[in-house]
Amino acid sequence: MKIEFGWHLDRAPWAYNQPGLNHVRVGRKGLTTLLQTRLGITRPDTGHAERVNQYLGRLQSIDSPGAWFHDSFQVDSWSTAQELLAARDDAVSNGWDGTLPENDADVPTPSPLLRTLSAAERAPGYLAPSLADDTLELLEALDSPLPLGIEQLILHQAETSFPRIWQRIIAKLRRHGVRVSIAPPATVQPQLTVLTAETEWEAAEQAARWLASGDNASTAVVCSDRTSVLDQYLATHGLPRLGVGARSPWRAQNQLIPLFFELIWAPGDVRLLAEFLSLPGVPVRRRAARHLLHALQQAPGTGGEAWEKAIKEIAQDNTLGSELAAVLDRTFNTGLISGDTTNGAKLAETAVWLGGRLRARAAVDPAFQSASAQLQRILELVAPLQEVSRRELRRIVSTVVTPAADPLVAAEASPWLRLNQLHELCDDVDNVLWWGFRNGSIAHGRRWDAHDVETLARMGVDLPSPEDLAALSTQQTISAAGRCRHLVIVQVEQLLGERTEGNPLLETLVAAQPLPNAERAAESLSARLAKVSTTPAELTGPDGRWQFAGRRAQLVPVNRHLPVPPAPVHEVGPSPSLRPERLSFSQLSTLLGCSLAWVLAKKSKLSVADAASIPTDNQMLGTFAHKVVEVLHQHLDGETRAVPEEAEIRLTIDELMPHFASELLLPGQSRRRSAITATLVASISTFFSQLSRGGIVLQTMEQEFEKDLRLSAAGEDFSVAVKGSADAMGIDTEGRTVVVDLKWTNNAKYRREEIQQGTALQLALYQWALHPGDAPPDDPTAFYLLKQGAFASSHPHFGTQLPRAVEPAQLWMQAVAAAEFTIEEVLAGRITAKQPADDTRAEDAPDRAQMDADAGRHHVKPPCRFCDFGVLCGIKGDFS
Amino acid sequence: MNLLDNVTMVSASAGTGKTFHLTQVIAEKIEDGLPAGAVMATTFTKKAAGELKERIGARLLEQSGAARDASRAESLQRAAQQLPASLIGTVNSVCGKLLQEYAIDAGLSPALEVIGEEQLQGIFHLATDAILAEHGTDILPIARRMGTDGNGARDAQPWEETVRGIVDAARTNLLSADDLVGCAERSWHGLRELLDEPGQDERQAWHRELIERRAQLDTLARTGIGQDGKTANVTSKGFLEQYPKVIQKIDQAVSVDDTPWEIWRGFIASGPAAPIKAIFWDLRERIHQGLLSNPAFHSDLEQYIRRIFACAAECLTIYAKFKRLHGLMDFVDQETLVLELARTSKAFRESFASRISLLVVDEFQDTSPLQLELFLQLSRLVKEAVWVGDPKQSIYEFRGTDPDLMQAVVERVPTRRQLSHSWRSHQAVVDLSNAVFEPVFARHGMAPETVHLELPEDHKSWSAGNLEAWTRPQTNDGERLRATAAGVADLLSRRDGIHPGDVAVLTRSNADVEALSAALDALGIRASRNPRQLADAREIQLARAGMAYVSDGYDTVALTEVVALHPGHHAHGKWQQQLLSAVDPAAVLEGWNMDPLLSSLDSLRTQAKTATPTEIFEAVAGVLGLPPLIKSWSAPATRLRNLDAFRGALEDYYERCLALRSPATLRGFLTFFGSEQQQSAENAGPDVVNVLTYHKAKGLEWPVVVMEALDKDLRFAAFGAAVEQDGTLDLELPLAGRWIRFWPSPFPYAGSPLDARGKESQVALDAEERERRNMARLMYVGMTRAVETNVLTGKGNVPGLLNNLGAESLLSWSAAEEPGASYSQAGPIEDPELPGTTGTLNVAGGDFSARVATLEPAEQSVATRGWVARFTDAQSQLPPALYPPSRLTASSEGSDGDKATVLLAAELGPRLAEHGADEWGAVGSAVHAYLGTAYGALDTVQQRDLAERIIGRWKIGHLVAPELLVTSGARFEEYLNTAFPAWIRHREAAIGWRPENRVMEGWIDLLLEGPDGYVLVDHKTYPGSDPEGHVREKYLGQMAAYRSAVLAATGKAVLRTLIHFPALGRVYEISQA
Ligand code: SF4
Repeated sequence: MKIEFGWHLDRAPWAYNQPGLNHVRVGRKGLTTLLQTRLGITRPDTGHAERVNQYLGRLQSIDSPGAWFHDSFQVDSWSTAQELLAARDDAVSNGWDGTLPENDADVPTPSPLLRTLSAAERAPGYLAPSLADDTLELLEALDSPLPLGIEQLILHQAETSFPRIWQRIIAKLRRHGVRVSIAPPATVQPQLTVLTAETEWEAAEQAARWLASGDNASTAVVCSDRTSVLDQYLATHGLPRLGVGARSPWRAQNQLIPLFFELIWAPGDVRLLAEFLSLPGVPVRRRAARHLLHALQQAPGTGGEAWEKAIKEIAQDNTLGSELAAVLDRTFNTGLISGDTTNGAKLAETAVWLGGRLRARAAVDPAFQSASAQLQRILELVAPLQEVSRRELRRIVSTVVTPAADPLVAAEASPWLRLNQLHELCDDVDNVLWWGFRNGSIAHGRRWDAHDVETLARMGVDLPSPEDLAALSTQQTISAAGRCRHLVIVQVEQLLGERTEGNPLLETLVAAQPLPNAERAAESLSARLAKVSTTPAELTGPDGRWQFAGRRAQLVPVNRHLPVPPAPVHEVGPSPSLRPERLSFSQLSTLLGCSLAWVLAKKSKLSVADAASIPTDNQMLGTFAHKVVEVLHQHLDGETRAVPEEAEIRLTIDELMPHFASELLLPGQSRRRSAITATLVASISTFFSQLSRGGIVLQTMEQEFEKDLRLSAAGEDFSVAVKGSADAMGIDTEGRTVVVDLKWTNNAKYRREEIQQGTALQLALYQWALHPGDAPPDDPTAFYLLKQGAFASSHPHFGTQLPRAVEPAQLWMQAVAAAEFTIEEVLAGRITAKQPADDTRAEDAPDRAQMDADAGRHHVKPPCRFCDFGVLCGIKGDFS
Repeated sequence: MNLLDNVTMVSASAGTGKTFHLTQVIAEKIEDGLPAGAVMATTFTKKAAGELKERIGARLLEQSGAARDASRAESLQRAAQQLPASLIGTVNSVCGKLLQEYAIDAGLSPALEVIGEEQLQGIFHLATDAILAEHGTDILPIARRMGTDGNGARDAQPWEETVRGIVDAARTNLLSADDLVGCAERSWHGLRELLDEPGQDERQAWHRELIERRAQLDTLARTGIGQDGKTANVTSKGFLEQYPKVIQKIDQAVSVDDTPWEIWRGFIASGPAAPIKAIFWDLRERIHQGLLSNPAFHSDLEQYIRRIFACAAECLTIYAKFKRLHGLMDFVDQETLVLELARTSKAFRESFASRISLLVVDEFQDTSPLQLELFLQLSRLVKEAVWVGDPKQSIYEFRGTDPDLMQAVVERVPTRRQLSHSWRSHQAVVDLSNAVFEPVFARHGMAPETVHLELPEDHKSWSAGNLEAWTRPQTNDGERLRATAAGVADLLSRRDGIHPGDVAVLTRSNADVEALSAALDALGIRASRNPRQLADAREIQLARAGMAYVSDGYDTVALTEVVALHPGHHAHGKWQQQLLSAVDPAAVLEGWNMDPLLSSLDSLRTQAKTATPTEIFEAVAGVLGLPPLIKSWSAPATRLRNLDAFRGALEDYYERCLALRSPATLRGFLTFFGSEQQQSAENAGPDVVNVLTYHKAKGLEWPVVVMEALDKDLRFAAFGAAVEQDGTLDLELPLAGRWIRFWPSPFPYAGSPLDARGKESQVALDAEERERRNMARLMYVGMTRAVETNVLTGKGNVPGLLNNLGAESLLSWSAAEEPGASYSQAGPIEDPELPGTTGTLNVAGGDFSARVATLEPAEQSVATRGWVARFTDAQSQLPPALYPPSRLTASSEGSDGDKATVLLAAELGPRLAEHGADEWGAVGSAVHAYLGTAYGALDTVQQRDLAERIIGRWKIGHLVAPELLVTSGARFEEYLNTAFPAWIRHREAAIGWRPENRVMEGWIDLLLEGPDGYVLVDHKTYPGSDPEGHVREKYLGQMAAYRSAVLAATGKAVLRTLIHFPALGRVYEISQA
């Protein structure tokens, strides 16, 4: 067997032009495995997390309050163990056997690090061996009489440039009769071209075109970075994709387990739950997830009415079933772990369901195999623990669920040779295209303190310095460059939103270029670099002729595309189907404010994802406060009391919070929670007491109503059912119906203005709906501003009275006129996006508010702030 | 020894080649033999660090190329290659690196996560939540009266933010929790001086009167008749505007205890409408008079100060603890912790001293007090330190830099160098800067020679350079900016060879940057600042919609957005017609869904389970064909950068998730992106005018620089939190004497008696002077950015700000007088002697020729930007190809389709093992391991040893005995000896092959080489009863692949294919039909 060996050749391909039997290229890992096989010293692999766990056990046994690593170990035992294990492995892989120099006056005492590592080597507890131990073991095993079957070892770097222990291994191989030689160094340097593009997309366009414009039978493509963008361009040229992904912890299937383990603790986090339920590939049946998401969208909490209803629906759906319903309810609602720590066995039990689902998935879809295995590994690590804290669990999870690098599409068969780094190039080729050049170097080894290096040297252990390793990798790159004739480097200036740093390798490559004549020797390096550099703009001539690094293509011109804003008014012809059958106040207000928004929402039924519309902030607090008032009223009503006790309010708030505003229970929310609770307690108490002071008896909350509104539009009379419910309804001393609408808003001013201007249509509508007749009576109405704890009303029952400009009956008339006008428009198929219509109004045209006022119509501003259609109607459009 | 004896201070005035000097200092040392790893150098930005490394590397390589002696050449090359691993970077990156290496020495978690700028607030609130909640109970009632409970004026800083600000200031000035208590005491004592002696609390009376008078007001408004029976003007614009406001304000005075002080001060406007004034004015006056002696007011201020500091003190402690526990740290921690190591850890000091010899600090003037202390400490540990900076360019006081402290330290450095040659600017620009700033900085105590710039000999032959002065007399700020834009347009049209990209306009605020960019845009000149938010750019809207649709196929808004925005969708442009007129809209949506564009998104959804949100974005961008679309749109370069900026937003999201230890998902990102405003990418290139703030201009240069906002006022205040310094500098304890003064004011709109007192206080006077000095430095930075032309602007011809820098009557300009010539018609009159100049700039008594002009805003230009031809690839002639996966793994090749027979070839002996236990895989590996060695070369004892060792290593002693291995080996060996006596045995033969552009690399268990070809043997540890079926089902393809590979590699065929079942004691042969 013939072996080519270089420090960085572990991922080098064995063959490009020539198939090879018994001819391999290996780095230290590959050579170790190969020798292990031949020497009969293979063994099962132990996962990294397991080894960390084992080492952690050893450290535990040598830990004491005075120990050097004690503080770190206390705050983060996992990472401390991981860090020290890495140091230990590095030392061992360089031949350290765990011992330190004898105590001696001449010898400086070893550092606390080495003393700790040494103590840990002797500490009880099993530590599974790793590649580091294998290296050390090889030295000994090579004394075995077993023939190795290796004829030749070709070194890709000077023998002395290998770490000392490897020099010893090489020497032993020689003794085994292996012929050791050095690969002939490259003598010429390639012709260099450097393309610097602004963005990865521009770079990819040029790189793909270059690959498409020549035959690549003798070409290597070095991908030192992910190729997802480049691959898209290759595909448009009909070329095979390179399929290099980035190592990332953020793959959906890597987030499944961490997400799950966040969700099992009380209090539940509905936003994370929604993320879990809508995670691509989540092992919850889609339909079931939809039910739950819908519940969260109704009320952002678990365990409330909406949640229970969803669980019930899942149970009743025979494609889902009650068993699933029970599991989901238990996992995300009733079975949440309270406190900050739990027992390992209990944790494992909680995850049984997920484990089962993952195993089942993995059996049919290999994409889930690693997640399934990872979960098992985590459970194995956790199960024996008496106590696991949430923090520890997170660390264990993050140690086991390691970043994966699967690209969206795997590499495809290609005429070119695909490499990760240039130094893996061992065959002679004509061209090399280097993609992701900024990453074109190697992570350097661990940095040891000079003192430690010295101490270990006394034990015959020579640690290579990161500087040596850096120099080695550069040398190997330069010598690999000599195996091609043209080297095309592609780099980008901006990546992932940041300016990139230059790779110093570039200067080195330029400096290594031969100098054809004496005068160029006087040129500065940057001038020489500039000579070989180009940008995408320089590659294409005014006639569309493109030329780059020896290849050319004829391009075609691009047609200009000028986007036009959508018309603000759409004429779609008479559309009887657009007649509203039913209207609530908010629908009416949308309809009057913007008919496009109303049609899209109510008729076309466009909506955003449930997971995207889980209420938060004011919307959530409004519903929550409503509910609290409603429940309190029920209590009071039963006992004929008018004003709740403070403690009672507090209790109700606490009871309902998990169902209606669960985010307030999350860590980091206590300040907000207590501020909101305080506000609510005070405000709700004011609400009840002011009502009673004002002589109002509260009768019902959420009083439902339905009344037909007679309208005439398009020459037709028809009626529309107006449906809804009034927040709070009561009766005053004169027997009049009182309606109060509860609002949670930051902008109290706006509501007060509505009262003052007499434009509070909502209140007028309630009075109309609760009374017979065509016009609402001027019975007492008010907004109650929950956040401010104040009423806004023009009636005297609610404290300070606000003056009012327009009577409700008149307002109602104007509203009916506006509704008829708008519906007529809509039925005629004239649908208007109000804001754009206002914006594009000609300078001299009257504004719409004025037109409405002149025609006696109630004017409603388009509800753009709460509208999901801003991109569609064009107000958020980009027409530049 | 003087603590600063090993320090050299290099003062590098603007444009004097600081980076060049730095490169030289470091490179020379390395050339003299200092290892690159022994240099630590800090810079202000990542970019500067990159540049510095690049330049040093280039210089070393150049020197290496020029070196005569090969070993020197090599060592210089090595040094150049070591730079990436060196400690050259921003202060934070260097500190971060050190902390990572010394984490355990510092008692920290080695897995420290650095909290990014954007996450700081979130983490702080998470950490201090409980403390804030606890203190909130006591603080909130006061905060409500102070208007800082979050419901007050929009600009009022909520109390929690004040706490955070104080915590931050404490941290960067190394103040402890205990120190903060002292700060409270001193703050209150200082503020108390502004107040009167406490008297009676008359708020009850005020309140009563207020309510009474409100009733009067209501009556008046209703009836139009006042108390006095006279008609009042209640229809005036003033009254109509003010009346509701007054009511709303008075309505906030529900109870005395809850009424904000701001209501007492300002329940009516300071210029009230007559009827309002008649009712309320005397009450207002009385309240104003009584305010400063009101004991409740005193108590609120005092309690507020004390409680805020007390809360901050606790937050300081808990925040540190929280981060420690969660393995988090921020930039300040990085510095503090390294400082602590340098001060207290002997191990660190020794290690650092033996490692680093040269410490270089760039932009020294912008180091924070904490960094200053850090550099002082570290400088003591090294042989030599070089600090490079320019006190005149210290412009980051708002970020916590203290120029005075800095100056004091710098003055103690015994060894100094001054760089005074401007390699940047032409003579006129240099002369102007000298004339303006020598007198200004003299007032800061700087000698003229530290300010004066000279042109180097080489540049003496350069053209003189130009000065211009633009008067924009408009009263409205926006109009003046438009006039400046018109000036830029004019300049571009009259100056040949000046491209838009050569011009920079500097402003004071981001709002001005935006306004100016818009004004330029209106004139058809593109500015660097893109006025659009990232989320509002078309390509981003399209991508976001695509991602939302991938995330949830039920998101019909996203679906419709794709249709509406994508010109390639079949319903594009018709969607409104189709959807709005549909009787059955669901069917319409269904139809849209069938479009290939959306089916590709659908299929992405299935792939998404293994993808990151970033990859989904990239794939969506690909599926929607965004890059080619962008090519046909306006500003394609900016749009492509937007795509990348969007990936930047994804990175921000990940960073937040990391800091909060929360998972990251596609849905989570969409929520994040929806809730964050992200700036869109900047425009760039030669056709873009640079518009930016003075602060951002630091370190940059342009041929033409227009200085805006030269008329703005100094902004300073006595109120709020600020860091103060007592006494003189002690180098041993440079941060001693620092404390935080916090003077709260409940009056966000000023206008109170407290404000009047505050304005006269020493604190305000000091603040004003400090601000004046800041402004001098900022203007210096601005003025020295110009290479060739400097343009000053003003409302009139005496720019207020420049004349308020401390030197009186410093600068003005005047146009050349030429009687009879009218300005606006004939345009500026040129001096025939000096073409281009039309007036003079008078600076400190001296005159400079300049082009002086008065500008008007130009009318909107209708000319749209031209379309420069763009090109793209011709449609690929090849049909879209389907390629097999690159990697061909022999073991995964299918068995079917390969017509073959499997026959028993030999019986080696009885079955050795019965069944396959769970751990059978390990047994298989062990058998393989044994057969993989050349065990035949060992004697029996050695064989047994080997077998035993293997069994031990695979931990299967409880399943099988070593004999199993030995026996199976022996009988197989015997079989080979008989069946293939003289054949060469290649155990674990490697085969590398590229069939049809695919890659195959594998190991063949045993390859026997005979004279005419090969025999391929594979060991299978299958213990079951149907080996033939097993082979047929699983291995035919694999074996066929190996056979082809061997043939390709050697040119010789595989004659026979054998499967050896060691556990069964049989050999089967596969023969092809
Ligand atoms: S954003 Fe405004 S104008 Fe556009 S559809 Fe919605 S409400 Fe109408």
